[in-house]
Amino acid sequence: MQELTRIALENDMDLILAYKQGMKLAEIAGLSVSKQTSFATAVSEVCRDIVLEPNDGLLRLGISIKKDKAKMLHAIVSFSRAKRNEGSQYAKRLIDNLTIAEVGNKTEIGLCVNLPDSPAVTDKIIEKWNILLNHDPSVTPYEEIKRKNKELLLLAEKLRASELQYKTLTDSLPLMIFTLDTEGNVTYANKWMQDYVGGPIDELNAARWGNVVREEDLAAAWTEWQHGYETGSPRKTERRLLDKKTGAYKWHAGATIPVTNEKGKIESFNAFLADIDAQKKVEQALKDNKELKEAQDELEKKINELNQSNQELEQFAYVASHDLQEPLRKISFYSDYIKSKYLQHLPTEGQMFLNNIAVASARMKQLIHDVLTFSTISSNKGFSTIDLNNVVQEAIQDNEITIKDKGAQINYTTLPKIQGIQVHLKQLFENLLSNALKFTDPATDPIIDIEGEVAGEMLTVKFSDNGIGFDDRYMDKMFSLFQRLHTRDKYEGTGIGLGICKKIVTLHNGEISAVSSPGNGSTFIVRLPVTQTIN
Amino acid sequence: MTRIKILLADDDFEDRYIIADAFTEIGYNDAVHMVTNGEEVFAYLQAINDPADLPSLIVLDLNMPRMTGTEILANLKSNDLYRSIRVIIFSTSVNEKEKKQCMALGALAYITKPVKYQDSLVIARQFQEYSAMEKDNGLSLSSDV
Repeated sequence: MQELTRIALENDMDLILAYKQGMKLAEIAGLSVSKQTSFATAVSEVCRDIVLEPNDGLLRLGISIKKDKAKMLHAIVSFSRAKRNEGSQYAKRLIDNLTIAEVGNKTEIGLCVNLPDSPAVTDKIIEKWNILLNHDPSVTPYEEIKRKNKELLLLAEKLRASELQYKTLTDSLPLMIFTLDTEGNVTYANKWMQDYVGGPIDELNAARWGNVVREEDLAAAWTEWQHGYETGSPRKTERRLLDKKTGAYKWHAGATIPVTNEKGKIESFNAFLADIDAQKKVEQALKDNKELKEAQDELEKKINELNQSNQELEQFAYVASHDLQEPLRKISFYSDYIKSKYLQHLPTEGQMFLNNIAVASARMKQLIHDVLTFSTISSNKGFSTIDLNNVVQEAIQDNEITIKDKGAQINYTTLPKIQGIQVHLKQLFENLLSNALKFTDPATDPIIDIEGEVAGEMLTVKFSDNGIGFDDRYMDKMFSLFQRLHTRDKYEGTGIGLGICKKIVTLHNGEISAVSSPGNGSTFIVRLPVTQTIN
Repeated sequence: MTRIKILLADDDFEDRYIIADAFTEIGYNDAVHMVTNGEEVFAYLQAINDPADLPSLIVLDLNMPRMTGTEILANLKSNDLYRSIRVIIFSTSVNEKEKKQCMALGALAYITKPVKYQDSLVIARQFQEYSAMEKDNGLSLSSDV
């Protein structure tokens, strides 16, 4: 059946309406006047049974169509209860075709009338009939009210459906959708937002978002909101919000769009916030990675600079070993040449000055030698296992002449093997021994003791002498370059020897110190690791 | 005219003067020819037609412009005509790395330039001795002179 109109059956007035609409439909469909009356009467009689008590009765009027032709008129009355069926009995006499059926928990009474002319029907004709039946000027105020009421009910139903659709949509989206009033209070929040903040919206409003936004961000957030309100422009934002479920702050991005009335005044705001925490984390990771890369580049640059400076130092060592010695050798040679060939031609003073030139040249030569030694101390040579007993013996051999000259006695204990750089350790022991041999007391026979002792991972070697000693508050100075405690005319020296010792010990990750007091000899203490971790 | 036994290359005028003085002192200066760089070494050698007239000893300073003593040494030892000529490196100071390199290239000795007058005479006499040795004497001489 193609429904054309319907009437809710509530009271007697509706019976009149049912009769009237029945008449009209029969007329439109082209039935004779007598048949019109029979159909309308039958319809209203069936309806009469229904309206006698409060009911949910409904009359639907329509036609059945076959191959674009109207074949039958239909009236279907549905209801839950009926006190009597006298109307139906009467209607049976008026109309051939009356059926009663149970549909769900309702009863349906169907009335049918054949249309012998079978008028053609198209969409346009159906529309026209619709208008005739539903929008024909109302004859009575009741009819008018009834019609308006019907329209209103339809609208309300549509609105409910639309609202439900909107709510289902916003609730199903994994982002916060909400509205704000001009004070910034949340007036609507979707399910996602309610779940995320984990409490009623009133709580959020009471705390002015303080329970969700980080304290340090809150003031700035409201300032931003206020600014957006004043300018009336849509605003994008990024904010960390507390996830009530996990207790973690997650980055959200969103926008607030003002809603204005026809006068352009802002009445509310529509807003959303989407979780971009994962994206933020990736961004941060990329940024960290970039910073790490930059730090690495910086480090590489520093290493290059250091290598550069090491190369320059090596170059300096080369210059010192060649170019500085070249003129010095000439000075020495010429003064010696003069001394060898023409000494007898010079006055005493000239001979003395010539001698001074030779002494100064020799000192300069030593100085260059020592600076060169100092500058070439480096770990480039690599650590290997060294037998320190050999090192001590070599140091004694190298100082043999002085030992003999001064009649010195050297005692030493057995020393272990340690990891170190051969050439540098030899230099260290030589320097410390020659140092002990240098600062001797002319009145006493020099005795020098070299003692080694291993405790755990550290070897301690003590060089003790019975020499002149020194005030050990000068110790730090003593190990710096070019620092001397004595005038040159008493004790020869360049002031580099102990500096070289310190540099060698440091290179071996060890320590050097000294204990002494004037007149009581000195003890130089060297502490060296037995094994080296860095090669 | 005395046959040239020693070819000495040194860019330093004073050093040439000092060693020439020493050669004169020992009466051997006529057997010595001096040049100031590597190019002159090869120019001198190439001008000799008879291999018998080649010097028996070449003394090379190390620090010379354009071609260092080490480079001259390498060139000499890679040339069939000059390979058998003895070469002594004559330098200001002993640089162990340089010394090793020169000995590996086939230098006979590495001698430090004199600091004293007497040393210059000793060195001049050593040069004289090396130059007077038989050419095919395969003896490896001590480098610690």
